[in-house]
Amino acid sequence: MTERDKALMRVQTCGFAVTEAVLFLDTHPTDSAAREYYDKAVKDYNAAVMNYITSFGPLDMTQVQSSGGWSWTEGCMPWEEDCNVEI
Amino acid sequence: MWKYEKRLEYPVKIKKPDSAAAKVIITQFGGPDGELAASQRYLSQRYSMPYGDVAGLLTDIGTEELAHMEMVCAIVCQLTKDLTVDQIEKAGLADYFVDHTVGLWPQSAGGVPFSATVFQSKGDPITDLTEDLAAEQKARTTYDNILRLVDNPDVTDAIKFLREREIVHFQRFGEALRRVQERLDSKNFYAVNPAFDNK
Repeated sequence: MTERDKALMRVQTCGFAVTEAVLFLDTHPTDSAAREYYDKAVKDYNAAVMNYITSFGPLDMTQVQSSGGWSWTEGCMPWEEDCNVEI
Repeated sequence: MWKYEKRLEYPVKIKKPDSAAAKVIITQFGGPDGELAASQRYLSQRYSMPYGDVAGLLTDIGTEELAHMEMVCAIVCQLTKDLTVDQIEKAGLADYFVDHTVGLWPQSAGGVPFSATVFQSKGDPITDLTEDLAAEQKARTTYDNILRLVDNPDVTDAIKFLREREIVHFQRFGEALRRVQERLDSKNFYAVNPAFDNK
């Protein structure tokens, strides 16, 4: 696994934890353990995104370091095989 | 408002093209129980959902369905990459090829174009959530059938993820339906449509 693969995998893993926690909390808003899980998942996700975009380019349109050129449309597209991590 | 995140929800990495698999999996893009229908069903229904928690759930699940539509399209896109015309013809994909080459177009496995008639937005919370429960099961069955037809592990790994999400969404919609029912007249859930009659 390349360094990019590892960083992307971390974003996907943490992002999924956030998605799951959000759906659960939508129907269990008073579950304090789930809220703690959500808080940690969001923290991990933000750190994973930070780690990815520092080395491998923006994940959303507000993360482009435009002084270095227009990188938003550079690189592979998410639906391409080369862009994806081997599980 | 939506913001695009430049990644798939779950990886799709298919090393070998397979037009026969693409021909059936495209149904989860534009077919009757596909991800396009799922996303538009929930994102349409939310406007008449009078309870914020359930409108929020419809938004969140509808949004995840958009990510699933992208995954299904990625699967079909990778399965049809670098195919020869001969392979396309042998897999019975010539009818699709003549109209779309190997571009993505929302249709069912049988070639029926995507249609909003495959889902409802009825403006009644009980009715809509009951439809949503059925929709998740119909999509789960479709993924089960795909798993019976396709054995390439690169493909089935992503399909199994999508199948699992149908089960989680079914669970959440069941909880949402209960939360709506608890707010209605306990003697008769169906006495009023809380989106219309409680003005």
